[in-house]
Amino acid sequence: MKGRRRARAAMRRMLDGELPIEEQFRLEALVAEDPELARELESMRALEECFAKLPEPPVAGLDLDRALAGIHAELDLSEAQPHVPPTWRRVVPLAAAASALVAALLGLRFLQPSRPAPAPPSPSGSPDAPVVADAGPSSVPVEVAEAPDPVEPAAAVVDSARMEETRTRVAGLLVASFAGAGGAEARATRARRAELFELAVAPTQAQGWPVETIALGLLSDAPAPIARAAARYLGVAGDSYATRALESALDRDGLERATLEALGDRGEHAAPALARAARRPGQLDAALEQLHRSGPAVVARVLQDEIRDDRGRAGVYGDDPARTELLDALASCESWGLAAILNLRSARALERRELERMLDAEVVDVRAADSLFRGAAGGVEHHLPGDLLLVAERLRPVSSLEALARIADDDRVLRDEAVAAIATLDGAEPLLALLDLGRRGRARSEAIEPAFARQLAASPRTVDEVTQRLVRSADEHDRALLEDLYEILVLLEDAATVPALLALVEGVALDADDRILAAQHVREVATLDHVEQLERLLGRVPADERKLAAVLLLTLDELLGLERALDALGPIPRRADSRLRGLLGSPRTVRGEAATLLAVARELEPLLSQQTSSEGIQP
Amino acid sequence: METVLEKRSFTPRPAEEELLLVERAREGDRRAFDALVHTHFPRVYSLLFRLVGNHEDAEDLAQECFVKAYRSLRWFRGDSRFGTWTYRIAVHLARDHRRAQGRRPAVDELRAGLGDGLGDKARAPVDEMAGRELVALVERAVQRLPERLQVALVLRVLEGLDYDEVARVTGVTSSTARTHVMKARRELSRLLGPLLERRSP
Repeated sequence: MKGRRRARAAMRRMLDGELPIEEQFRLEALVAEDPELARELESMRALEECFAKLPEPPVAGLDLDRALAGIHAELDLSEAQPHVPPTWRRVVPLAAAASALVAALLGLRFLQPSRPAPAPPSPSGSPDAPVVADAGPSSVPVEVAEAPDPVEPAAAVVDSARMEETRTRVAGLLVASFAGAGGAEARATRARRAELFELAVAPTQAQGWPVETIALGLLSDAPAPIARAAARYLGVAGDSYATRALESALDRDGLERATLEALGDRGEHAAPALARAARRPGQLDAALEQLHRSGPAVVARVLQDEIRDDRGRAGVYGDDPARTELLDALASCESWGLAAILNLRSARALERRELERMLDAEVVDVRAADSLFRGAAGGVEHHLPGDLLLVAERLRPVSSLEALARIADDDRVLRDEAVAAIATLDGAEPLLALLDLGRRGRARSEAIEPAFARQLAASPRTVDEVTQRLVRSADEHDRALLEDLYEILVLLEDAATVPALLALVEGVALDADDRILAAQHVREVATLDHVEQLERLLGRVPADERKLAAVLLLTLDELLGLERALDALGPIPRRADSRLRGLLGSPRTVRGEAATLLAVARELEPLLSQQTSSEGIQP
Repeated sequence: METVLEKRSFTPRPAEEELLLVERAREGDRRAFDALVHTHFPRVYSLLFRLVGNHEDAEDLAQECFVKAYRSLRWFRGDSRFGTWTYRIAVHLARDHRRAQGRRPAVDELRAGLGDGLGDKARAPVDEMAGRELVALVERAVQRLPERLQVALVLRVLEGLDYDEVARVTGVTSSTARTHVMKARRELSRLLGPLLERRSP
């Protein structure tokens, strides 16, 4: 419950654009796991989209001149008539004056002689009392009347000469403070310049002049050098209003660079403005450069929102060259960018061909994909399975295995594709996953065997590792997988399978007959490279595995010849040596093969280790 | 999100210039006041249109707003921007207008009457409902929100003011303004939830 409450609060903050970027990705991951929250978020987003599509008021149809004429007529009419205030307006000042008079008299009577008498009341009543305009209490807002400021605040009495003088002073200080600022200069340096400027302008500010507002004005209409300085100041010291003004100033000639840099200085607050600026002709690179100062997560989020809005724009996706540029910029935002791209797909704001283009053009980095599948940008469960599959197929990130296995498990339509994608991944884990999927009927052997063949060719040790892990496991399911693996290895008929087959021969996962069969398969494909392993194994075969020992001895005989094969047995009695030489040296027919094997086994029994094979062949 | 908010950008008249105009208008200079009207009339009209829902009333109220502003200029001290101040007047006028028009159906009543407005489509599968009808329904639902919630929502979401500005216009604290917007969104989601799910206009 608490989690949902927090998620809902976060959703509201997200709608207001106030949720930090990391939390947004966290929220999306959280929402993806909770269907109720997902419905709520979808509903909220749909509502926001409806807001965006509400018809604009018909401002263009306004006749301002007619409106002005109406206003003037009304004002003229009211000015022509004698204004009679309502009764209460006539009574209240009199009452206030009377009260004040009484208070003053009482004050003179009771207060200390040294204390000055209270000031007479202002005509509008108490200084702190709200003043109500004459049009009626509910129609005109009130403003608090304050005591006159001794330094005469600018808002009270303004004359144009003083205003111009102040504006010129502020402009001069801005230009002086920000001379040569920008470009390679660090933001911290510009912030220091702003502090110095504020120090210099402090007396003006103390007089009530709204310096930041004056800077906003200079940004909008002063000559370029002054406006540039104002932009730099507002970039490091401005508020949300400054962000909007800076965005508007992008329209002014000669201010683009300074204004974009100022927006960059504004940081995350100005990121959406920079994303919009990137669509302006000729400003793409500079805007993106500034945008990237906010970090990949922020850039990904704002570009995602900017591109998502393309849905509302006319035309077909891809018609807008800026969209392609923005997508490529998004793709460069590491795992955040790829997550945002897939979010756009989920929101039906990006076409599959656009994703394919980005993958083909390799603007999406495999490291980003790997990081995404590891969950660096939130869980991947909420992305479309087909998209995840596409990314996995094209980029083959190792960490995509879990997601692919889930698709193969859950999605009947995409199952074969997911299995095929797993088969392209390197390492032991994908092979184990394929065996598991095969055992549970999710993957066909035609899809699994090529994966093992590919790995044997590329990295035989990987297959060996898979075998070792399964052999060492006591898990029933793993035992079952081992049997499947055995069949695959046998079918492959490849010398590279020998270490894995020998590992099966050594273990206890297969029964005795299967182990002998495995050894027979080794015999068919083994090469001189495997002699050492075979000799070592033969020396450890227990007495109750005499047939197995016989197969190994025959294999060595075929690889090395009679003398060296017998050497592998170590010192043996003369009589046994003679009999074994007779058995191994005689030509063998298919029928005689079995007889020879049994005879050799009988001869070997007294020579073998006296251990039993109940726990496999001991090292 | 914030698509509506962020899309709105405008070039404000420099504040000091505006203060000069206000000062001159306060001294009776009608041309200075005209300049202020030229700048702010469209936005005031836009707000009123959103609040009262039709062009004629919005235009009349916008005129009235500036008549009242002119008469009350002596109370304007520049603590807030002139635009914000006129917004406040406009909000008060819209409230008076709404009261004069009589009570409108509440949101729940609108929900009950969904069928009337949309015919069978409202009860049809969501995907059969055209996006523009959903948007029209949202527009009507906004019109029928409780007054405080409607004003806060319109100012924040449709007119793009930040919460501090909404608070200044509506005369509440910033956190109250935030709560009003949140409640308005929740109310609309509650009303239109089934239609909004899995649907974009």
